[in-house]
Amino acid sequence: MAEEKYRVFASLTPVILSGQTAEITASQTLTNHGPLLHASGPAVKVLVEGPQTSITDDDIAGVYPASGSTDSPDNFLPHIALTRRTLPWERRGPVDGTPWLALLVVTEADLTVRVPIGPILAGAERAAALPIAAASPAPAPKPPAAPVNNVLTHNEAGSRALVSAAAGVGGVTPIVADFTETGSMAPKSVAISELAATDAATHAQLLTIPGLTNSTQINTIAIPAATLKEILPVAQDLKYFCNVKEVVQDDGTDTYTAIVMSARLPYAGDPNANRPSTHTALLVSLEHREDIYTRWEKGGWINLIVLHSWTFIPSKGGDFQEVCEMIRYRPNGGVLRFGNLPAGSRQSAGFSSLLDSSGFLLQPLDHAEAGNVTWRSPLRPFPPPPRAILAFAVRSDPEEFAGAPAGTPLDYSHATAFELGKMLALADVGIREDLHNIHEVLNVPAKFVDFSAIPPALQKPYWGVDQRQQSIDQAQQSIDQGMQNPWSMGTNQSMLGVQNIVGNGQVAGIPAQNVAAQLDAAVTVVNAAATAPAAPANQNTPIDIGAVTEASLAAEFPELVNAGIARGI
Amino acid sequence: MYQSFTTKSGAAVVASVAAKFGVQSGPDGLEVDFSEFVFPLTVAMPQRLYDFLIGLRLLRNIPLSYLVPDAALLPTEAIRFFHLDPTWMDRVVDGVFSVANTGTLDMVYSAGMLASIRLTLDNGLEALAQQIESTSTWKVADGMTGMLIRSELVRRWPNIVVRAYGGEDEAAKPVAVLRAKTLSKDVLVVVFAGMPTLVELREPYVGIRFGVEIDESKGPKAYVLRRDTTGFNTGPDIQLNITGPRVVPARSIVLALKADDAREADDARMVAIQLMRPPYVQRFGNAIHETDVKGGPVVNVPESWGSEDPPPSRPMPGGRFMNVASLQSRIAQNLAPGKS
Repeated sequence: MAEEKYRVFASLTPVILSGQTAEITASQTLTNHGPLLHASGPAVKVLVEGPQTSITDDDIAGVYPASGSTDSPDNFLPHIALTRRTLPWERRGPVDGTPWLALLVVTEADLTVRVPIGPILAGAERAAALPIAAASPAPAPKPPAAPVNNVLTHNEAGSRALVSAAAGVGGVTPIVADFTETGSMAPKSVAISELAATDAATHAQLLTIPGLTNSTQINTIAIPAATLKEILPVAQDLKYFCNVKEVVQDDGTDTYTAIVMSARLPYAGDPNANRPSTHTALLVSLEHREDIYTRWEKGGWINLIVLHSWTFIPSKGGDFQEVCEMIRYRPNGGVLRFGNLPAGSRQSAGFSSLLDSSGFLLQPLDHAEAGNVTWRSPLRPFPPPPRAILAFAVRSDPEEFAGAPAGTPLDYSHATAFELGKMLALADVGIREDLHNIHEVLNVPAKFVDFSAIPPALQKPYWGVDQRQQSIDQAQQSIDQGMQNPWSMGTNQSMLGVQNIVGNGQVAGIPAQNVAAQLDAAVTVVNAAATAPAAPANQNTPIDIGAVTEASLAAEFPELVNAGIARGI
Repeated sequence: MYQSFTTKSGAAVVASVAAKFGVQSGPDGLEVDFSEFVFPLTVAMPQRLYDFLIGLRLLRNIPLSYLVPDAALLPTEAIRFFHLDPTWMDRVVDGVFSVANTGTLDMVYSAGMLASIRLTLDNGLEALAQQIESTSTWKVADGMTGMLIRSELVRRWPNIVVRAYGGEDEAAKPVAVLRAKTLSKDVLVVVFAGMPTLVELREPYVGIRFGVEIDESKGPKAYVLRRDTTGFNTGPDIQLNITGPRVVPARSIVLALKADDAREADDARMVAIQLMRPPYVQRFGNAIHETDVKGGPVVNVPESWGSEDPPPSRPMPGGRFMNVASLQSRIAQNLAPGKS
């Protein structure tokens, strides 16, 4: 597995921000002789566009914790990785030089403003829940709540929304968010013009941003100003929560992603409490939102444009390292050899155990079989005895046990294994069908040897085809055909064993009893070759270089002459 | 076994051929031994059947109760290492093919077929090991081992990464992990090609993460490791005050760095490096070599090894302490019936 190396950058700011227009003027200079046909052209204005009110799935490289996850430790900061590495710096944030994206983490309780005025409607128990900030060990004092009496209620569709039960600021209902029964939250989709009635300050501010108009459709969420003040970093600190990660692979390829992380840790809650709250991560736009930092002292609600959101539930069960460490402590089971117990009488290599060294249960399991029956699983505490590689069971063994002397321990382990295999096959119609489509294949060598060229004494009567009757290709085809349909082998061929000059073939190779005879035959042939007369001396005719002529060479080497003529030499 | 047509009666042929296979009753039940024969054969079978059989050899489809017949063999929050009995697994495969047997003649044919199948599966497992670890020279005859984990670890990190090595560190030759699969929501089975001496459990790769170490015993206190630009720890941890809404004070990190070295950059890069949390790796080394009580002397190993009485708290890297009792309580709650 390739190891990754990271490189981190504080920011990657584009030369031209999104929404801005750049002027490009082209000119050319010739450094060689020649006519200059076009010295320069008109300036070209380019409007740079980029995501402003939403992002697509393609813009997202990943999020942490995963959407819908329920097991992320609460000491990790949620973050979103963006494939567009310049995205957080493509627009002006609340002040110059800051990113325009921030990741907020909220729970339903964060969006609740508790002012006990008026009747408590259905679902008010959730409204009574303390915000996550107040439930943590050292709660910070919350500023006075906005003069809006908000409680939770159920709407007709079954989802819940925060509504104002009494006249608040201007007697209007802020556009907050939709909640499901599990606490998941989805921003509201509205046209910017709709904010005029509920959040006039935000409405006015958004219309000052290039690219946004009253008809622009946005996803928005209204957050109590007091909550926002607690969870949103001050403008000058926003830069600390955005960076660029470059992943350098071993193969030299680089991948850049922009990271936007939350400043706020999730909170899994009191260990003794019930299920932790559902958290929602919101990637919000702070483009030109300097108004937030003056308005949050005044209370009320502040609407934010949400570009992406997801929900998760943090875990209070510790992180990976802690859970690993916990395994070693009693009453947990510890890290041991199979069968061993963390405490008790010693049975196996100094440890207490439920098994003996062969894996048999020291205290037999309850069973309905008569007699002394033992059993073990395929998992053994110590190395098993050597495998009987050429022994096969063709039926289970209880009938062999029938005549066993009384008191003999009857090991049913392999019998149950055999029956288990049978039941697994019977239970799967596909496997049953496949068992009919299995056949053996001869290990035919990739390259045939011309059998007839081998001295007869070295020819072995084994699988193969007599080459004196067939070509090499024919022989191979014959074997292939024979294996597909062994009952239609050609004339002079047995089903699998094959005849040759030495005798009848054996599909199993040279029978053990014939090996010595074959070896003797081979030795005889080799010895005969070693004692054969030496090859005759070199019989080439020497050429007298002093007397050679063109005609004599042409007569001696006509092929060379003809080849030269053919090539025009 | 395979002969040309003969004038003998069918029964006589079967009897004469079967006699060559040494059919007998052994400790593993009825066995057919034809070691004197050498088959230059392999088996062609449908891919689905091949995958099924390879899977059986890797304990796939074997009910957990057959592997762990008593719950005490795998208590909660436990890790158990085992050797895999190849003969037991061979019997399972034999049982599969017994479904296709119809009579004595088939039995004789099956013996040859089973030999080829066993060879094919052995070759397949060795090829699989090489596919997983290209440097693997493991042979089936070297044996297979494995590990069972029953823990919150599996429930929360089902994609836990298991690696194994044949030496004392990661520089040693890797051992192929033939299978690492959850059997239930909190049980993971792992099968190794051979017997590793170092096993690692790695937190699943989730990309880069950021976070802090929280010391619950000190209220709203948290820490991050002080690192230089290359990511190495360089000094005492940076202490942070996590306020009510649990907002990480990034500016405090910057100020702490600059207090030590004014050259430190006041930018997001240094904040990110301090907050990075790499995946954790838990290592299991073969520190204590036990021996078979029947085959050698008993090693006097303290019972505390592998399982200890829990301390009130345990020091962890980064200067933090783990509240053992609190965490045990949480894990027990998560594993309680009705919780998921």
